[in-house]
Amino acid sequence: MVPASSVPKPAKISPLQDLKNLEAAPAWRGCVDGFSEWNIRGWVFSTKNVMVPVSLDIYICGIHVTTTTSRYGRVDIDQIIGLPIKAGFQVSAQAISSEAATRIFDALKALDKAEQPIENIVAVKIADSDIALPFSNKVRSEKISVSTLLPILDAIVGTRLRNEYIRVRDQLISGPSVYEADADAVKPIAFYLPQFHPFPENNEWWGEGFTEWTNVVGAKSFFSEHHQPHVPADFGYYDLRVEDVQRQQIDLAKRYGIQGFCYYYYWFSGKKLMTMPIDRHVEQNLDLDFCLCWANENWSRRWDGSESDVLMAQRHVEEDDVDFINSCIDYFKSEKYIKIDGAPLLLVYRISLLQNPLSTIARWRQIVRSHGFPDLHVSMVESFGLNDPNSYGCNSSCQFPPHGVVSPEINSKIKELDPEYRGKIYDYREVVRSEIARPAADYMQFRCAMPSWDNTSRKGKDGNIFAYSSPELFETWLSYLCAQARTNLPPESRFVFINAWNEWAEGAHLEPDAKHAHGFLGAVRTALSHDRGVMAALDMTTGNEQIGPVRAADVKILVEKMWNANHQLQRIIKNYEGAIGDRASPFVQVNSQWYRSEKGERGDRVWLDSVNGRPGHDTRILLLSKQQNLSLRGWINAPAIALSPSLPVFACLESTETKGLSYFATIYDREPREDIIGSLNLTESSLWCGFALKADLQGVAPGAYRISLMLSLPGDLKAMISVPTYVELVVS
Amino acid sequence: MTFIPGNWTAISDPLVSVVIPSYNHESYLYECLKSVSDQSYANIEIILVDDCSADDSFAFATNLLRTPFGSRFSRVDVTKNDVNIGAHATINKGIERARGELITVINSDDQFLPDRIASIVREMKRSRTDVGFSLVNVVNDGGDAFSDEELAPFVHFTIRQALNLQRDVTTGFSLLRQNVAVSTGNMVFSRRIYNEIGGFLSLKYCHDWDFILQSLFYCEPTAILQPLYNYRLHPQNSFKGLSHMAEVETEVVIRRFFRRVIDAAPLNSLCPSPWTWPGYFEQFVAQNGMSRFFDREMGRGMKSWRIYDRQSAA
Repeated sequence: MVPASSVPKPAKISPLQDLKNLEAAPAWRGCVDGFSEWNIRGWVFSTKNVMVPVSLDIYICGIHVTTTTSRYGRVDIDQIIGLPIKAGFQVSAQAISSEAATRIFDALKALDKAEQPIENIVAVKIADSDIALPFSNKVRSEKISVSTLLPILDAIVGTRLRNEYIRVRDQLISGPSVYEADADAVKPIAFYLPQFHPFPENNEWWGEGFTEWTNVVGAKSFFSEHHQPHVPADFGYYDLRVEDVQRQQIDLAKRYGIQGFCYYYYWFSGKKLMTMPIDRHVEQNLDLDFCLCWANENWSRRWDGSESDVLMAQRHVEEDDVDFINSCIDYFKSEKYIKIDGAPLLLVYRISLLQNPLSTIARWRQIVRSHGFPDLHVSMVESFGLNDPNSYGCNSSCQFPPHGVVSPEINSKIKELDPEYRGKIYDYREVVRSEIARPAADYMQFRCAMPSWDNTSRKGKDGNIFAYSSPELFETWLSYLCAQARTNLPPESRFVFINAWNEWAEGAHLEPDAKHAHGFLGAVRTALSHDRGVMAALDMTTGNEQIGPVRAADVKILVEKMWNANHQLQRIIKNYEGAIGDRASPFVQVNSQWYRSEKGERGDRVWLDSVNGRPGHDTRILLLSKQQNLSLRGWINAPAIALSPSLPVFACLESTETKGLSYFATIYDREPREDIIGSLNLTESSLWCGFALKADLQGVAPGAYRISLMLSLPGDLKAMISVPTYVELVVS
Repeated sequence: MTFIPGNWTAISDPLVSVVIPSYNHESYLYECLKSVSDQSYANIEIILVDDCSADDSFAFATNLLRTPFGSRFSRVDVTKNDVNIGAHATINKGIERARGELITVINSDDQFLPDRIASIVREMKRSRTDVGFSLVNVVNDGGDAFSDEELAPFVHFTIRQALNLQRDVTTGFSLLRQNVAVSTGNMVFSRRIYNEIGGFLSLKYCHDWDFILQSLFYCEPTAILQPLYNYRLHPQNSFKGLSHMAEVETEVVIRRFFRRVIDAAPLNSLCPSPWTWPGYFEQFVAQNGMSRFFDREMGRGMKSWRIYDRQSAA
């Protein structure tokens, strides 16, 4: 059987459709004889060898969509040729990529006529030739309606997009933030431990694959409120060999206002360990400032720099110290390296271990200057009771809690403490209290806070614990340090330090864990804020200080009252779980030229079920002050008008005294009222006759008003039909 | 360098660049250009970028602006993209070519009302701000091409916009609820705030909403309660399509805004944010069904997340 389409009228026949004389040019035969909803069907074969599949390029609106080959059996063609040649081809909408679909969509929209002949839209070309297959008469005679094709393209884009949703979204959201904090702001620097990747020495000393995590995972809880083990959340048990981790750490740190990492620099008489993250930071110029803290202790099995069980030793002889500073120069040269007035900031963990700190540091300065820096800024870490940087030739010191904090041991107060436990438990709350009260040092001091601290994961039952830490307490502590930095430090060196970004085995980490999530990071951001700074500064004033004519103590009391009231109100609102209504809709004067009044039916009216909480049917006159709200609930009886919820309805106050004065308020709440259309035998077009309004009268001039509702008409942008309520409102 | 709102007001008669992204609107282009020409404000330059239109828009604009019609403008700059790059990219390109202290955009099928630029600039100057917009009037040029449902969102557009704008404590909160600025073409903004924001994001439908929300961080926009922009409905914009993009774009716009106002306290003391409206902001966000976006940007995670303890994540 040969379908009619294959036997077109002689006048229209294309040489490609000539099946009688296969010797004649061109070297192919074929035709597109089906098109519906982007399914393109047809047949094609080569006259040179009818058995060989033919490759085809499919274009829609000139956009290349896909390539296909003939491969389906076509009984009609087979019968004519007398061979099973599989001349059929078929392309479905599935073949259109979402990118092509978007482009085709735009191209179709640009066509000015809704009906198009198929030649304007589809082209099927034989690959590597200029020959396009002809269309059968049937296909040609059916004009294509563009509007029926668009939704199919839309659906293609939609399905693909659904699968790509997360990636597309994240890519768009993660655009760079161009906003920069002002230069005088306090800059928090977090200590950063690089021991989160295995390396040969650690494998040797502690076993294959050892990292900090090895200790972290094994921690156990020694009393009921003891939070152990700490389980990392956002980054998991990460491995710093994965480049992306460090980038993510930096992105997260920056989002919360951390301005730099202070990397521990493990340099032992010429031997570097764990510098991979630092080297990467420099090589890739990662987008965060950083500085180094020379971890200049011996590396011991006990993690405390003691002389026993030394794994890797420091010698601290003169030539070592020179080599050390030379090894730092390349880091200093990074544009991201933190400098104070051009001088690179270098922290030394335990300055007292240097044989002759004064001359070593003098020599360092000389060497650093010889590399073109104006100077070197050496900051002494206040570890192991060190507290006088000047006597060591340092420019400043940096606190390092828990070293140097004052807090009583509270083991005896802990309930259900594991009897095996032999370490010491301290009260974090006491630490915060004493650190806030600590007087300013008489040398340049960078202050430092720790989010929490607990090294039982390293030392088990011999570890020490600071109990009762929380993001809120940490925030309080840090906000005082920020306030002090603003007072005591010049803008270019306005640093506060945080111990630490990721000391997981010491329980001191800003990095999110399962319990606190982003809590400690959020605390950093809040502590840095202007408002928190003002509060901390107020708290540091003595009550009798004057702010203009006002006593500081009075300002403090005022702020606290308002803060408390706001806090309590928020708690009340939270209890209502969304039961609190939205803002009242304001009545606003509307220019009468913005709409066109049309007459409704005579019997149309608005029935009010309730007016400001009272039954509506006995209200004729309503007296309200401007401060009160007008609340209406009811339904509209206007059978001739279609009340679609997508068409706006306004409440209108029309002055009975001043001609032309009227106010509109949008009705945001519409209700379907099956009860009404059922009992009154109205049609479905009245279903959405119900409404509720809470309106604000602040903007309404005192006077008497008729209340009506203004309905819109389907398909008309400007028409309004007024429907009366027969209630009068007097605003005083 | 800190951004100071209204810095441009130091200039008495600032040059306003009217950027026209032109695309297949040859038949409407004259009315569009005429409406710019008819502005009562004098110091205007025209920057027209044709986004590879299939019709003769580019030739029409070039030839018309070459006649004395073009001499009304302080400067005329007409260019053409080699390939179609989309509205947001075309607008960004046009703004790069512009030299005005103030910039405004007009869609090539829309029209300004004659006092538009003068009124908005006057009001922006008075309130020392960097962003201004007006009410929008919708003109139906589609005849019967639209169904009642398609027309419904445009019914009483001006009145609805005016009332939505005055619904909230500030214009910023109304903008967070929905894009009451309506369209890129309806905004006037300073070159400086455009640079601060970093241009229009590559969104298909919501780049205008994203832009004005980002601008809230820096200054409170001024809204002129007069319809000064004619938005034209015609058969070509009948089937908007690609509506599924709206969902992803909405999430992007809102979360970008949240991220911006959470990460740092806004310079605009009226900007909706947890810093400027403690308590109220969170309440507004919850009431408008944006809590899940807010919580994620606050680093709180969601109830379904397994990486945080259930109790502390809640």
